[in-house]
Amino acid sequence: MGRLTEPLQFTFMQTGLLAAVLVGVTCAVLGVYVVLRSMAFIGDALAHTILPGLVAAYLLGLNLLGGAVVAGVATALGIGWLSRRGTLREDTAIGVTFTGMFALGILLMSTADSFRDFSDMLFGNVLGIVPRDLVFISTLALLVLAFLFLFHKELELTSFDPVHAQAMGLGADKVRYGLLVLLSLTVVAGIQAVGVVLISALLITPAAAASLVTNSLPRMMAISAAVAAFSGVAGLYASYFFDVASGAAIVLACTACFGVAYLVRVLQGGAGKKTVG
Amino acid sequence: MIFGKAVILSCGVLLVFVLSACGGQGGGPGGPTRVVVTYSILGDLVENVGGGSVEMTTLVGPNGDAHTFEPAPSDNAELVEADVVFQNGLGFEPWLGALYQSSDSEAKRVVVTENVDPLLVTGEGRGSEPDPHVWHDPTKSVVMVRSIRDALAEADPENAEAYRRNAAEYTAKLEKLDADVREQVRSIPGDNRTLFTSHDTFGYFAQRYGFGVDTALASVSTEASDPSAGRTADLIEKIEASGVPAIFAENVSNPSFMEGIASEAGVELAPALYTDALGGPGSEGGTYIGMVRYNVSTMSEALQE
Amino acid sequence: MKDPSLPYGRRRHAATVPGAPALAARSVSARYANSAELALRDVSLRVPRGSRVALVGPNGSGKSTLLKAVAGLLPVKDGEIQVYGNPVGACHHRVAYLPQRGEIDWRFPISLRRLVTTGRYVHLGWLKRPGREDREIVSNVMEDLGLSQLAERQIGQLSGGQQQRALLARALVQEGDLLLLDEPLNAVDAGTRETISGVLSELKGRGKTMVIATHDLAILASEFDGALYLREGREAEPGPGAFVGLPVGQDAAWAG
Repeated sequence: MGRLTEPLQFTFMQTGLLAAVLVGVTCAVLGVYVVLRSMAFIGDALAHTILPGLVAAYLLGLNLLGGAVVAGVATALGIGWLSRRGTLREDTAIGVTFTGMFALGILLMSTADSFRDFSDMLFGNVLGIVPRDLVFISTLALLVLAFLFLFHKELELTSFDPVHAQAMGLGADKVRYGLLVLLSLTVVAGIQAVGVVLISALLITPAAAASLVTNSLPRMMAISAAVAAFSGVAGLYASYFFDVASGAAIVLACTACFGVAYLVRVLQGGAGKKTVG
Repeated sequence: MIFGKAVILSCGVLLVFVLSACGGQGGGPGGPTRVVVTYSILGDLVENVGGGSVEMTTLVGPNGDAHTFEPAPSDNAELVEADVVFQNGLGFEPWLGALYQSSDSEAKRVVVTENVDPLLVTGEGRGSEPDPHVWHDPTKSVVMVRSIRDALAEADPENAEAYRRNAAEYTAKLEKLDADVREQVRSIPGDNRTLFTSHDTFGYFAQRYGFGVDTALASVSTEASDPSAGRTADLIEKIEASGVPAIFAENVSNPSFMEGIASEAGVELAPALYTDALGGPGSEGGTYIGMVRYNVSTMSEALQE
Repeated sequence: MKDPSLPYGRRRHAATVPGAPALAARSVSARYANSAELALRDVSLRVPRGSRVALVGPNGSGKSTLLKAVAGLLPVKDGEIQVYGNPVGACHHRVAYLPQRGEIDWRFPISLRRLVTTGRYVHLGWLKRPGREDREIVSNVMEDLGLSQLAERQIGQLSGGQQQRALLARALVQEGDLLLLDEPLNAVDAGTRETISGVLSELKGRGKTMVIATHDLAILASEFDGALYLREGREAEPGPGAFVGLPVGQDAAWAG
């Protein structure tokens, strides 16, 4: 038992564990919609789009995090606008926007006098969380969970039957914009806290694992959150005892959980569960 | 008859003008010697030797990182126009060879460290390679100044006297710098003379002035941006055990990570030192001598008990 | 039924205009977003309250287009549509739309019961959760359509006929006065057909107005009060011997 508590004597492990769990749970719950709405590569895309925001902020002497947030939200709204009903498919809109934004970032970088690798500026690591970051992360987690709770039925409905939503006067686009903005805030904050490797994975893998073992949306969110929390802890412990990269360890823990879920699904018989929950 | 002679004479004069204008690339006789320098620190040395007779361009400017520099097309053009190209060598500018070849320049390439005895670094699994960061030891810079002086004198014999004079003056300043540093370092308690740093740049400095260097921070700094928790824990314990009062982390992508390590190990995170480049003009590290003085003052302040 | 405090549509739920027919569409033209062609040209339809009107025509004749326009899913390019005297969108809650099966993501993790419950959302608006009254209505309607046993099934696990009944249940829990049904009896088994027909008769008995797109010509005379024939997006003449019933087309629409 002493061995298990050994890592906890270090402050960076305590804050790291807390951050991994908080960010993990936030992303995992949001990730259920990412997976169900086929937006799997939006995490990676949004991560790339903050580059021009960073560079522009740096060149203008403005706050870096602010620049990243503005760029992220602008991209999210741009994606939403490009893929509004009947125009472009969402994955096309994502691809076009993020490659363009990233190239803009590189272009801006080339105009700066001294070449610096700007993309490193904001990319954090879960071991580098200081207590003031935790406040930021907790606030974001609360914001996301509140949004998902308050607008649960609208998010659910617009995810599988936007036509019916429209027939009721509920603009599916409005809900989508909200989701995209929330995603971009989560990605920006998450990258600053735990790095880009982790963010994309946390938005997809726990939710994907959960989708294999349940047919109930609320249960999917709960299982997804549990997978993320478990992987955060397991990954960090592995990083501590086996001296391996921390972010990668957490991602692989998520992947392992996915593997287990897949096995469970296979053993249950190909048809899977018939009822919801 | 006279008309014919006048024409021949005019053609002759014209020819002389044309020939002299085509006289090779780079500055002709009478113009300043055009020089390209790969990084800012070397640039300061060259300027101090060359003075006004030299027109200098620096490829990797202040605060730039020569290790990861990627040349732009305009850099090609600079090389073509140059008479002399000064480089550090010892693997510091891995991109220069290709750039020089592709630019088809006829400039003379001078490796300023050719007469310097290099330190060997054993990398993990890499075998031993020379350490390029010679400039942190002012006595090595004196050797480089001599190479610079000789190269300039050869390329521009007209001003050789001026170069020799400048070099001698500057060398005197460097020797004084060396003495001052030795003096300042004496005030740092012997036990504290270990530099925990994230960048393996201070090897020559450490050798000259009796410091130990521990680059363990490099393995968790974000060159590889995903450090391991186990290694971080080991590092914190190591720093704590060493008893030094401060660590040095520069060029890191995640400063708050370094802050965290420092605070958990109970040490100070010293202000950033100048490593591979000068600071901007007017800053403390804007000149080579300024840079060394700043580094030593910062180190000595941080490492007092 | 109270109006929701935070309704979805921008316009508040308007009261019906007394004396206005359930539906009055005048010279409506409409087209789909990605096409340049008009799917509906200059079509008029007048549906008195409590009546049952058929939209008849081959595939592509504009039946679905007209229903979608009335439901507020397609913008009208020309002409106007009034529902109970109000413009489209002013009283979403009174108009219940049953689409053809196609557009739902049947793989989504949601139970039949919850799918049917979404029909109540128009009365809830933002932030409100379904309450006891809503749950009762949902259970009753599912019972009427023989779906109670299947309530907890994930919607992808249902047969085609069951899915069709589920969508009808969703339209019915809304308790709208005007029902727009797009081929409700198309491609379902006999048992389902019987159940649905029974429910529709019952609704007519309760005074609901229905506009039903169909191409089952046999039942027209017995089940409907009137029929609008469509062909290639325009109003067409009924064939010789075809059912006519109440005038509902151009003449009727412009008269009232």
